[in-house]
Amino acid sequence: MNLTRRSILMAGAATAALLPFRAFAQDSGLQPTSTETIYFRGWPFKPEVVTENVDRYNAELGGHVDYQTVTHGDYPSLMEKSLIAKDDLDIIYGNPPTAVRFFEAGWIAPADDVPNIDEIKADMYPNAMNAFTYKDKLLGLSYFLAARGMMLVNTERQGALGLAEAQPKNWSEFYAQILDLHAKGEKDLYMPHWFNEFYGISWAFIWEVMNRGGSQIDAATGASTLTADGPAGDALRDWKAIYNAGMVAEEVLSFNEAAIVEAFASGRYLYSTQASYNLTTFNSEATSKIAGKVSFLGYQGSSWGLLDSALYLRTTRERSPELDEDTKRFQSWYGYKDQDGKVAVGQKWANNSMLFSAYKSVMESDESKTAFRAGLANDDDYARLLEVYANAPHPEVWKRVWAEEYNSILRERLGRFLLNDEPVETVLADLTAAIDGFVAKYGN
Amino acid sequence: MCCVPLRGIIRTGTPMKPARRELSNQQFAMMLALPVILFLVATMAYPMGYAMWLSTQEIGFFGGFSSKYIGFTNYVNVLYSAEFWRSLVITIRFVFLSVLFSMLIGLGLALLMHRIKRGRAFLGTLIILPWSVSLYGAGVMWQYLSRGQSGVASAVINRLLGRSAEDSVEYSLISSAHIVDLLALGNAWNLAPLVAFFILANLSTIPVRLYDLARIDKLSAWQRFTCVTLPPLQYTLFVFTSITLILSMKLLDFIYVMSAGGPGDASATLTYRLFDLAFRRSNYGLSAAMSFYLLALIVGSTLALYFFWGRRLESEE
Repeated sequence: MNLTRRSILMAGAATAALLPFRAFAQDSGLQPTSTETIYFRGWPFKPEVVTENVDRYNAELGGHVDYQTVTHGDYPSLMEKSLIAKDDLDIIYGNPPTAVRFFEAGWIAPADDVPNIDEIKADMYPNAMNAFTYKDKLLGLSYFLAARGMMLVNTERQGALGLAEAQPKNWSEFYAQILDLHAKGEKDLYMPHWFNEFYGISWAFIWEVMNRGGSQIDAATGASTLTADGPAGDALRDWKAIYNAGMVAEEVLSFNEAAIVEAFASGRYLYSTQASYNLTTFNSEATSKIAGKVSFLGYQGSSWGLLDSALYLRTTRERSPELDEDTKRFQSWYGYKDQDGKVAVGQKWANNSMLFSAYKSVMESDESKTAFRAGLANDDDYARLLEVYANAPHPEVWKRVWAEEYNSILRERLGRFLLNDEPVETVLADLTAAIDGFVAKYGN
Repeated sequence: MCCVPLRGIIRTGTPMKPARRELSNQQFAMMLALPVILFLVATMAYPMGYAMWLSTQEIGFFGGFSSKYIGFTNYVNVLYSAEFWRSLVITIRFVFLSVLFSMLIGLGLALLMHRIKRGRAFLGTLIILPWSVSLYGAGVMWQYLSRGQSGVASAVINRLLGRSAEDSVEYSLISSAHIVDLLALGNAWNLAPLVAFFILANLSTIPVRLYDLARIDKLSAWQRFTCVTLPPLQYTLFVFTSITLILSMKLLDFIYVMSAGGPGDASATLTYRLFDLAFRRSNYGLSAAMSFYLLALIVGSTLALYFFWGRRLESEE
């Protein structure tokens, strides 16, 4: 190539133009300091999107992140065994109860020392901060939040049944309505969240008790608060009533989440308890037969479901100081802002999957509003959705180290309760005995 | 010239040491099996020993790893556990049906392949396919087929029974009453091809003239099957009954994927219960103790099978 005065001037100008970007990338404090590999593992939700994000980090910042998925159905227990076995893990997904357990076992480090932590905390909503904080430590950075257990409605069937003006305000009214419709000969009224995964039937029980004003345990003493004449007893009696009436097929107890999503998307059911992010699936023509016709019961003084969330956790495996620093930087980049100062990963989840974020900068962005509205049946639902989400509670029992073990017991015990038509008192006594055992084993 | 060498004399005419006593059949078999036994001991000793140690401990991971010796408490607790007894009953039912289905289907497929002359290779390829499917893949497929609302198999049954979505009761193959039977059928679907090919090999060794003689004696088809075909197959049937019994008793992946122990805990076999206790509830000691009861069940039932069937076959040889 011939060097001319013109070409030298142009090259100089181009370099000068790029300098600010390069300087920002260098100064963002997020690029790795070594060439050591960071092992990033999570459950297989849209792994192609995660791969895209990781590839971008590796390409733009010269990172060495290795991403793979772990089976979802039993993710917490499989990940726990990997941690016990001291597998190579640096950043992992986790729900709050899993994070609490891993933190108590010394397998994860709090995220209080990642780059930009002050800005991260300032940008976080209080409900997310509460869900992610344990013993005054921020356990990880936001992957997503959602309201799980929202009561979705097939508005087409709702209209046909003349129920548009008769929307239940709470669980008691809801069960009364569907039992009444059943007595009148209506079929396929409700697809409950009773599937057989770690966040299925057990979580459904936890949120119904909370939504009715109760809890699993006393926050101060850790003792069971499950009583037959309280919210837990009321919830189980309602479950038994609809199950014994033949309103829920037995096979639902062996479903996974995909199966209940598929069932409701078929347009067959009037109601179904689902996660808020599934609204986009139900209102999309590519994945649903009732696209544009799925709404939900709004907040009318009583909450629906619970605050579902997940975090990016950093493990405490032995690492070189350089790799440890790199892991913190990647956690900050992936769990908050990239080198361009954007919450790129969180925003992408909001845009393509209707996943909520812990950060105000994502939730209040125009991009998010547009994306969320696109997943809803009508414009009014946007404000109603945020209201249901804002009122979704975080279970106190998830702040206990034994929450995952209790969850496993709930999952099986509740299924047996329904199948064998057992007395409510017996089930609650068993659950109380299990909680007593955990408190004796792990302390309050 | 005498061609029989004199005992103890070698060709050079020098006296030879007396020949060593011949090995018995059992000793020879042991000698052949020794390398395998040594390999198994080498690979199994540590996990078995560790499991035994675990079964006498109370393990904790919180506040650092801890273990506390509690003797045989875990073994006693297993016997007091209603879950264990429920899973034991489920396991026995599942294994019995799995073995029965595997052997019957395997025998049927072998007879079919033996009888068909044209297209046998194609048929054989079709028959072996289920065996080549991973148990995980088989679990996903069987679950999908069996679902009441979207499953093809359930839909076919509903159609045959003349039921539709409008009827008040629809039939689903996934129910607490039949899930174990369905799992056993799925397990047999996976195991039967292997059984079939070994029986087929055995069938091809039966002399054709025996069937000619049977025809001369005017034996019916059933008599030919029971008097000519079945007796030479007994040893193969015994071996594969033992194999399918052991494989079914320790099966987890197919059950895990297809029913996850459900509905409720209707299909929670002992292996599934062990998984649940160890991996979800972190109760390693109790799970390890329970695993030894399962081991005893496997060894006990295999020995019983040998005692009542295998020994008789050996004495008939």
